[in-house]
Amino acid sequence: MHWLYLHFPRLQLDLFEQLHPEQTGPKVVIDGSDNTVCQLSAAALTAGIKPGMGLAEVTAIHAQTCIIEYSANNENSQLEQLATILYTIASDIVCVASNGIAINLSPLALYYQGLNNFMALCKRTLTARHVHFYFGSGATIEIARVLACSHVNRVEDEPSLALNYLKNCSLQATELPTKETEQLNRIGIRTLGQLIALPLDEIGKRFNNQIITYLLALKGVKQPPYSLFHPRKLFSQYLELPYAVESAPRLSRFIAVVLANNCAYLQKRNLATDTLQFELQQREHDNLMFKVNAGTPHHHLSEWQMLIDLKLEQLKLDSPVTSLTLTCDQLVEFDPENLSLLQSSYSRHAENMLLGKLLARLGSDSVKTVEQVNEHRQDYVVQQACTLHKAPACSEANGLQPAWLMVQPQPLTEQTQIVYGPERVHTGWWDDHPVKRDYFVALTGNGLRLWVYRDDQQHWYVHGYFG
Amino acid sequence: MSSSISSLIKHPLVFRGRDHRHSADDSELRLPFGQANLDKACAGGVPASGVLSIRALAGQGELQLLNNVLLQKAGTQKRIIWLPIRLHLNPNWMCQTPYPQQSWVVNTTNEADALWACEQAIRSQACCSVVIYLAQVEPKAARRLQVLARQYDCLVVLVHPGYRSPGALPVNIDMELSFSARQWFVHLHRVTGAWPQQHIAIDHPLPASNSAIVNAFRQYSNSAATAIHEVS
Amino acid sequence: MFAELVCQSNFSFLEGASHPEELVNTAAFLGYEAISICDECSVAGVVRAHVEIKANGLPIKLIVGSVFQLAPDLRVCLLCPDKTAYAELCRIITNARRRSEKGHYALSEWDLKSVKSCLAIWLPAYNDNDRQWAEFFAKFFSERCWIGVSRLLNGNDNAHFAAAMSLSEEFCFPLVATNQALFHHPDRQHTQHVLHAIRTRSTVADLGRDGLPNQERSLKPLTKLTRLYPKAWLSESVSIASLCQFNLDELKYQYPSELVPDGYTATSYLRHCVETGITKRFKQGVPEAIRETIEKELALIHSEQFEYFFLTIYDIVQFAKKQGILYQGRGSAANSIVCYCLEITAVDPRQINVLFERFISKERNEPPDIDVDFEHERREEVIQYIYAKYGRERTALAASVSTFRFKSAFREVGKALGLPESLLGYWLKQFNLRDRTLGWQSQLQELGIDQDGRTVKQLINLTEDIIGFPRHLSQHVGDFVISAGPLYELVPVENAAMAERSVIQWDKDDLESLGLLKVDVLALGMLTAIRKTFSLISERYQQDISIPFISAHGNDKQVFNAICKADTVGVFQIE
Repeated sequence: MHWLYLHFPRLQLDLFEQLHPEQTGPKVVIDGSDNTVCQLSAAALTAGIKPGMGLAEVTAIHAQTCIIEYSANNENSQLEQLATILYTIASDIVCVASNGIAINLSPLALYYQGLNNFMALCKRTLTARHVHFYFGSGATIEIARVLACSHVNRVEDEPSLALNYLKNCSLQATELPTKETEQLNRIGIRTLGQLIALPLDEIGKRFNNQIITYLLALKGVKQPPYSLFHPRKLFSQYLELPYAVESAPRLSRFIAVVLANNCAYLQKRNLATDTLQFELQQREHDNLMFKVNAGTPHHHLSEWQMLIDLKLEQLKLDSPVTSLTLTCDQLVEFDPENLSLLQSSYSRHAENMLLGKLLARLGSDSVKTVEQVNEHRQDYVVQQACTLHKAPACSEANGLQPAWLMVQPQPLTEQTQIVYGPERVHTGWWDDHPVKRDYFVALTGNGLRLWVYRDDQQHWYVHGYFG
Repeated sequence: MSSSISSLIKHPLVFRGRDHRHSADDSELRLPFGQANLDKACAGGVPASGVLSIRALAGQGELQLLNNVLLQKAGTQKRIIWLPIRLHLNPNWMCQTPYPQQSWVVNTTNEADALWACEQAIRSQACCSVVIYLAQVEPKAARRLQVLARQYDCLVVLVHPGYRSPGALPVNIDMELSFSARQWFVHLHRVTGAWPQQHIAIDHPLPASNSAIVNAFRQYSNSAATAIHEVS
Repeated sequence: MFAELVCQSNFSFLEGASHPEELVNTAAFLGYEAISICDECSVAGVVRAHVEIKANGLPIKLIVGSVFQLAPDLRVCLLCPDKTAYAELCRIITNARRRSEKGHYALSEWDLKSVKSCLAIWLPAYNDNDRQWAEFFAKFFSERCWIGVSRLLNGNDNAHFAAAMSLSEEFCFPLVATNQALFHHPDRQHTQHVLHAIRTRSTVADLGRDGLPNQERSLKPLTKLTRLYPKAWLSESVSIASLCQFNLDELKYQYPSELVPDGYTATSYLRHCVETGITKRFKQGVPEAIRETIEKELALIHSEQFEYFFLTIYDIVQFAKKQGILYQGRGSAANSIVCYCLEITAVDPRQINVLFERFISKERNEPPDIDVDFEHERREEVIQYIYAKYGRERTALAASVSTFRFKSAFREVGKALGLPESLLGYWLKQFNLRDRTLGWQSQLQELGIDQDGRTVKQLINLTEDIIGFPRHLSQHVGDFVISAGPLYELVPVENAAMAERSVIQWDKDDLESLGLLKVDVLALGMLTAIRKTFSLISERYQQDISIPFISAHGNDKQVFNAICKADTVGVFQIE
């Protein structure tokens, strides 16, 4: 067996950041049992906050730190979502604790014609969900888990090769209880290599059976049993709100998050529903339940969102809502008459195979889906892929757009005839790329349609071509 | 003797009319360009699977000519893969096409990679169409793509300057765009199911013009404005 | 040879980026024949423009108008050729505003159908619905509708020209050039971007294609305009301007007639009231000098036609007196003997040195100023009396224009430039705004912030630009405008934030500039305190005391001594 382990160190924070992109200050997740920091954002780290710090210390370091309380419910629900998504690209999946997912790589190597193809696809899938993760691989889930928690971030072609990395891992990265770890530390055993080198029967005299089982798993001798993940036949997601919401319409943006998951879930399975059930936990009153119904079963996000918004406008809350659950259990097959949809679900698998191959050979940013760039300055359109933040979709049409853009505008050297223009772009004063240009369509002798501009020094450049 | 004939027949530059007649008889699905002259010369349009070679420069309106063909192909809901080279495909232009959701743009740094990616895309059966730009095409490579594309029901649009491939390519349609004296022509070097033909005049409008502004000045100013684009 | 007919000032809140004054000055400098200040469903900026033209003797005509957006498809600018049209414009602005909460408006198709005198400049949306609207205008605005064509170099010019010309041909609307100016100088584009970002609660960098792509929506020199538009379209704007003969000076205030009982004229009724007052105020007969002053004052009031004004206030204070509400008149005209006789004030003019010059200066050509303070707990009764007596159609509060102050400007500009709110808040806390010697700009430097940094420089410049820009209209504390006919024919009325209050679109300076009268009904907490004191005294000592009773006593040594010992807790004013 060959297992991949994905360790998600900050699931709850990831979800919060996804919901509140506008909050740029330090953020920490606090473990309610002892009021210490268990997850923290990059900004919190630069502010000097460290994991394990107390709440008082955190507020002393940075008064405006945003505090989120840890919720195991929340993380479990998130993890299930991730597992459901990964289920579309891999079959044998195990959910471990509240922040880990193990995937059996053995069948995938063959299916994707190489582990690299699969790994490229897997990383892209997770990155698209905006979650942080570490990974490792090995012959058992336990080995892969230790490596992931040690941030090895490698997948070997052969599971046995992982053992080299395992030797240097510290005992803190393992699942040994704190008491036993300290015991071992006291006698000078700090790395796994040292521990594995000890004879098993010697250890057996001093530690209980559980530890032995765990060590056997770490040596790759015996894999303890795990139950495989199966996506639920009904969709249900629990979402803890970052703050109590007082009016129903303002729930819309939070419901949008679970709704998107729900619709993706349905679409992937070619299912549809005509009823969604919501349960809102109210701070000072009983839970509020309501249903939203659609005329015919479907799985279209925008239409559901519209229906829900209408419902929310009518809804009166008794007291602020702290969390919500979306449940959808009346599932039907999506209208099979629509042939193209059947084809599309078929080609979804084919697409995944292709994408894995392309990403593995050509690089992780070689394949791009098309997203509109909301910006007057054409230069930004080229750089967009990595640098430009995503501006909200623009209400206006795009105007005249050439199909081809030069990465760097080139001086115009040919004789041309102007057939259209000018379009004047004079903006961008707020950053390092102010632009003052008149754009024209120019025609060359051999019929090339150029997108040219004249800058404020009256120099002419070619910036694109109309294909 | 027969072996030398068969090796001659197998040569990639030899046009095997028999093969093509066979498919034409099969009344294979053809996607019209939407231009009467051209569609007539192409026996109804572009065969829905196989390679369409366009000899043109990027920027001669080559994609505009394909609008109708790609739109019909996009009806299958499968992916359209774009393999540009050297130039950057403008995502905002893409969003104006009817199929931005279906499109993937794959960036490659050399032609070997581009051809490899094109082949993978065809074989994956996840794509209805691949649009690939190359600086030059070997007949062998074109033939390979043609065979694959037909096998996996994919339309490959191959755009290349063309002057480095003197003979007609062994593909469904090998056409050339040319511009002379303010008129656009298509030369068909090879068409399955029809004869090659030169100088097919086509309607190939500019993406935009100043005509209405020129008109306004003529009509409302008594003075024909000389340089309408000089505004400040 | 050109008139800018669609031009928005910064009274199109968070959209226009120039003061009305700047627009008219620039338009006059550029040699425009006329300029129309057309704010969105508002005429709030026109008085300022009007005053600026008069004050500087600018050779330009001001046209009053307003632009409206009806649904996403229809944008139209209505211009006023004459006074009837002006009243019509005020009426539909009022209707559209009253239908909606504060700061918004909802125009209906019916409003437009009811327009009989205004001229319309239609700014087509250039989409499929244009023909439907063209039919609408052909039906309801025949001979009074033009298509406004703009060439903003934004990539749509050619398509817009083509569509406008075909609509013009089919429906016989003449075409007219307009630049739809939002600012007077191209450099204000930055300010406009910032305002836009503030309006959409975004940052300038996030505006994307929604932001202005260039600086074309400014007032442009004529030479540039001739390159952009055909000659006929430019000269059409001048012929439209020549149809617009309305001038804000034509507005005359009509006092409510019910103030004067039958059988009296305003003058004779005022004299009657004053004479009644004299017998009350001067029980021992009027000294010769005082009588002389009264006659002088009455003559002046007559010549300036202020009788109604005095009678209005007289009526209000009579009501207050009947209800036992304490009040106190003040202001320049309040210190007159006429006011004393009308019981508007209680200060005996014999005891203070009345400066007649302070009363009303004929030369100053300003309306008299009388503010009346009422007990703050009972002012509402007075307001309700005014509403009941004159009706809501004829009464409204003057507006007070909330403008950007330094702090709000700094914070909002900073946010629009993408600076974190916590940082802006920190900087603001560090400023010592009372420091007159060191401006905040220099203080920024002292904080160790690189002033030459691009963003900080922009923050400073744009904050300076935006300080003083209007943000929204709110209600003035107590300036009432009361008119003879419906108020909405004089000035548009909109909803205030407070329920059941309506506010006009002009503030008190605007009213003053046009010579329109207002009545100040103010609240004063101290009067409540005094009334409560009076009732305590009457409870304890069975002694009834009133303000005139106290002021009749003149100076009091004991009070003077208390003041000398600074034993003045609770005293809010000493004269």
